Amino acid sequence: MKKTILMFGIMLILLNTAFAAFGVSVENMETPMSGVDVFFSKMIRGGYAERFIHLSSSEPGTITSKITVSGDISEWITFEQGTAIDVPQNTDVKVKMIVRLPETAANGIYNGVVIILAEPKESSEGSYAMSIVSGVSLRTRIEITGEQMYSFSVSEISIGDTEVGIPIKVSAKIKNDGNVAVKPLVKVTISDNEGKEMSSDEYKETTILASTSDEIVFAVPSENLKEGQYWANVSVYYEDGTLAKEARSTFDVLEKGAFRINGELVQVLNKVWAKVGEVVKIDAIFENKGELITTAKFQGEVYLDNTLVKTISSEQLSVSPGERINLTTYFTPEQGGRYVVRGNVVYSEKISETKESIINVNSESAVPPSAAAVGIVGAVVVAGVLGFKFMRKKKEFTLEKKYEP
Amino acid sequence: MDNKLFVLALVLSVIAMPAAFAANTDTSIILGNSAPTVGTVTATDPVTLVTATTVTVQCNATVTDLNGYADITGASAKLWKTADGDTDDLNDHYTNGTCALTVGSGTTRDATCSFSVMYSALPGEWTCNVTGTDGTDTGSAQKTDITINSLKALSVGTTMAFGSTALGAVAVENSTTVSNKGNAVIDVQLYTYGVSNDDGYSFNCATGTIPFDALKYNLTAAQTYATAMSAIGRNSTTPLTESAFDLAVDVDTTPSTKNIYWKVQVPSSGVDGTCSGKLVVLAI
Repeated sequence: MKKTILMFGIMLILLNTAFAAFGVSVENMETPMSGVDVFFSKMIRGGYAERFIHLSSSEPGTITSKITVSGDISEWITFEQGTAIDVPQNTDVKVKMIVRLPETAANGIYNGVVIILAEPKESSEGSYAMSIVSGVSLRTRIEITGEQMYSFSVSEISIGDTEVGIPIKVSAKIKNDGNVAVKPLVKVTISDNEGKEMSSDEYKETTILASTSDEIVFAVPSENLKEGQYWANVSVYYEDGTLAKEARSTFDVLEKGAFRINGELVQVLNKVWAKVGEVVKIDAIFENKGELITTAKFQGEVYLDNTLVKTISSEQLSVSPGERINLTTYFTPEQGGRYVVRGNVVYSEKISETKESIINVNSESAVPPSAAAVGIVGAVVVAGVLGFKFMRKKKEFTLEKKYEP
Repeated sequence: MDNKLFVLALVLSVIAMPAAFAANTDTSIILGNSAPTVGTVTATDPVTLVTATTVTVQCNATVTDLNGYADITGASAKLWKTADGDTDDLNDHYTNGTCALTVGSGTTRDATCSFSVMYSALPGEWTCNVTGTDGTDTGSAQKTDITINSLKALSVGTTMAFGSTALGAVAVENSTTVSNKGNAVIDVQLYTYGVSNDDGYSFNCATGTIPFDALKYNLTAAQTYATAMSAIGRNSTTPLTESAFDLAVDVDTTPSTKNIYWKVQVPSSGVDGTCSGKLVVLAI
């Protein structure tokens, strides 16, 4: 009988035996439990939930990862980015795993497995070798319950500055903590600095699905607002009308084109420790962040123990777009203490944010003694002279008495 | 008369003394140094690690010094899982002695403290603290807690070659080295196929095929093929789970690896030519 020789990887030396790492991380695993990597708890029939998983690889270049789902849950899970996902080397690739339950699903616990394979960059076909594919298996569980939970939290509310005639941008970051979709109501009231209500608006358009986070962003009309500072009161309400979160903040309505003129007082810089009588140089560092050339002048106040002791100002200089300059002033402290230098930069009829610096002034003996101290010294000298005279007279009297003939 | 003047002078001295020293207060100020204090610490949270490399975790805080922001000369931070006082270790303790400081204003500067956190940093709750210094005094630290997510990751060679084997013979043993490149202890699941998942083969040859259960493994080298080695799964839904694998996380800089040893028996007939197949190694 003829013996046939099989060839398994006949050219071992030519084989690619490189090692490449592949890994998967699951975000916000809400109930860590043995034997389960991803747990969607307390979902309702017809419900929606999502979770992010993160893929990463050390393979040079880019690999393609392939995702498959098996088990009871395989029909309910999809991935927003699809099931073939490119993973560049050393990069965190975020993939949204989505669960959509049918209305017909019965309450209970359902298990399945999500396998994510790192497909080799080059096919092994024709290499006469066994290719090794690495991957990660995620044991996944879904719990279906009949109990609806309506809940969301508001993490941040913000109101932006605007220009005359441009709507005001209002935003609120919301996380749906329940298992049903929410549609928060946001109310905005604009008032001037005297508290007079100028306008109001409300918004209830954004639906946030269960287990997801979103930012509600909407524009509040500003037609009746002139240049100036205003207050915005933003309230977010639950479905039943109870208040979820409220925020109050100022915002500026600026002249048209104001955003083209933009500058920043980066820092007020001076010597930290100084002595009485020493001239201290104060630099206000200003950067023109706008698109137009501007003039800039630092104006500041120097306080000691919350008492204004001096106003200071620099020369007015021109600053080109993108340029950073020092606006220099000087201050000479006349007594010891902790001085606060507080100021801003006036540029193109705008005022920068106020910034501060500190000068710690030690006086030691540099200052002449006060009048009271002079009085003490004088009094002691007078007392000494008089005392000396008194003692001398007393001595003379004693001698005269002793040698009296 | 002179006695009266003397007494008067003394009385004046006594009265004037406190006033004189009180009036002198602002001419003899020596300001003390204030140790910097740290405000609320914010940090990257949660942290998602990246396999086989590092990710940057930041802890930020505002440092305040009553002597002025320019007096703040540095900030440092620690990030740890178990204890603040531990020495640095890639698994559970990191130190940044030179946090970046912004220019500052008034009495404050913002500190940005970055850590290059390794893939093997253990999952769970960590603490990050930030401390400020002015070169003379170091203030007390402030801290916050963050979570590092679990990362299941592995590294294996991309190919395995058995060389030339006679019909009916068992090929020379081969091995694959599995390394843990995450922060969780892993077991492995194994399955094989010739061309496509669940085709029932381990190799597809120029002529014929080799069944999936002809490929066997053991975690110890040089075992007897017929009696001491085990077949693996044939598809992704029925993989062989090796629950005794227990591949630990790297300990600091020491890699954690384990070998899997393989043998394959070639059928005594029906196959010829070169053969290739797929072996899937899953971290679980």
